[in-house]
Amino acid sequence: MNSQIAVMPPERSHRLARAAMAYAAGYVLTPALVFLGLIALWEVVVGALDIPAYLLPKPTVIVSAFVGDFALLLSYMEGTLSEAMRGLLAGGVAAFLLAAVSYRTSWIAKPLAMYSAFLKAVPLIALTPLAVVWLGIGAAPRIAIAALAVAPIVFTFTAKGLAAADPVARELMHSYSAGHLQTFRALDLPSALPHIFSGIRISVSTSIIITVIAEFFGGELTTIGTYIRTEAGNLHTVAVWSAVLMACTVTLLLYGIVSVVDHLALGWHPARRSE
Amino acid sequence: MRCAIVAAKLGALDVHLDRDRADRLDRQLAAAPDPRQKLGVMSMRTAPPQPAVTGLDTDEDAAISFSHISKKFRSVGSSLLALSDISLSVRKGEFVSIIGPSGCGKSTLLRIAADITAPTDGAAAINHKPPSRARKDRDYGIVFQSPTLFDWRSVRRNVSLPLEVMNAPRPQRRQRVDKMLDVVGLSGFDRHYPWQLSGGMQQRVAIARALVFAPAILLMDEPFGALDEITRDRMNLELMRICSETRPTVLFVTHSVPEAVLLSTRVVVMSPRPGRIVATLAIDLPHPRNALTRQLPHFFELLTSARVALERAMDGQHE
Repeated sequence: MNSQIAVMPPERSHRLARAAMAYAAGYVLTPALVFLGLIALWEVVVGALDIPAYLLPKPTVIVSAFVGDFALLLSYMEGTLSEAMRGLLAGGVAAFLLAAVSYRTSWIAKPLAMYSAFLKAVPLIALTPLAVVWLGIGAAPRIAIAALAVAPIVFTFTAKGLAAADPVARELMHSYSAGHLQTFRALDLPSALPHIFSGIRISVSTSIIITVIAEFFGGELTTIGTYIRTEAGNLHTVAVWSAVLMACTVTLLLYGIVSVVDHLALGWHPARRSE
Repeated sequence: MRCAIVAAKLGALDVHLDRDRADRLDRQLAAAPDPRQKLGVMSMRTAPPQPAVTGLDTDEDAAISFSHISKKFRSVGSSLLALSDISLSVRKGEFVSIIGPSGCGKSTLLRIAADITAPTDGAAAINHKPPSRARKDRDYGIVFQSPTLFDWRSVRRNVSLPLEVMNAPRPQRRQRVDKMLDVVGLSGFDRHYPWQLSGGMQQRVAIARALVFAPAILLMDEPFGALDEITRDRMNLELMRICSETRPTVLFVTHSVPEAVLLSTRVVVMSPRPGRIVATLAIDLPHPRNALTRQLPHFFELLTSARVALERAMDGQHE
């Protein structure tokens, strides 16, 4: 009796291809065209007004510097990225665990949410010199600053997501006499995943930006931040721009990777489904 | 023999094992692939073994009983009496529907039986146990108005959810889920995801999930309330067939009078808030019932009496 309303089995490869095409058209093609237009405008205006390179270099000059110094920039970016990712991991994991442990106990969850909001309000960059005093001149102060910057973001998103499960589904788990851990694994965590992924996506760029800025306050000389500071001090504007371009490229790349993983892992989610 | 094997397998299932559940599992696993073939056999009902009476209720054959239940909802500065002195006993094997206007507390009554909410006064009993005990013993399955399927789980993994929570071994999970998908007519859809199914199919998955661990009692809270009327009519027939195969005791909350009359052995009519039981109708339509039952003159008579009782309950409010 059900065969007449049979649903076609999902053809995964087709679906993925179609989703990728729609994604490319909406999120890549149009923005890319607008972006290229703006860059071209920049090039033309700088040439027409004869603006000196130390004020604003032409995009083509920046790109050629970027290509010429690519190996150097990449090795500096590696240093920065390693600090940022260690900070992201430390802050992210700690925040996730705190949220996972506390979300069912409101007298712990509420104060934690408050602290998290406070932490977001703290100008962490201003604390970087102190962090250097406390943690030495190695990578530790910047890892700590990045972790502190990322933690409240991951905490807020995770806590919100874990509390977002359908109340009726909770009642269903209750009717099975499911334990807290079972409910967490079967219901609350999967419901929270879309939120958690959003948190990670924001945290990736935050951790890189904050690490680059924290590097202005000293640290290893083989990072993007120290490079930018030194070159800016020498008015090597083109080098600064090419370093910024490198940081942007890597951040966007990571953002893209997280988005793709999100898309593949959460194909079931109403907001992610293409049908 | 088979019963013993099933019982032995069930030993690993972390559920309260009694002969009833083993018998039900046995019957269901032995069932012929074509459910319609079995309909004739259904009328030969064997009397299930009687459990010990603990004195919580008066009717010793009661699967579900409510005695003098009241429920008050308190909010800031006000309180609302939702249920007032409800006493009702559902015997083993019965299909009892509760009908009443929206907000009369019929869903609350079902939620009290499920130990989702507690009564302010009075006591409920499931299999002569307090609801909290019955819930821990997995004595009942529940179906809500929304299918409440987990979008990230395939149909198969949705149906096997309660078995996973109960730590049932994998082969048994597979066997039970296959059986229940067959019973609800969704074999072959096991790898689909909930959003790929129609509303009626989703609700059938929910029913399969509620019955997959062979509970003796099925609690249904307006399960077809969100479906269109054509799907609802078809689902009513499906539910009758499913119940004739799995034979649970059913407490069914609805605001559809024809649905209540067609499905039930007894229809309980409730008044608007505060909910009280104002009438109980015995539905003496012949079994097995089917689409043709809806055309019997007696069906219309019962429909009329249920409607009259409901209207009287509504009028009582204005006096």
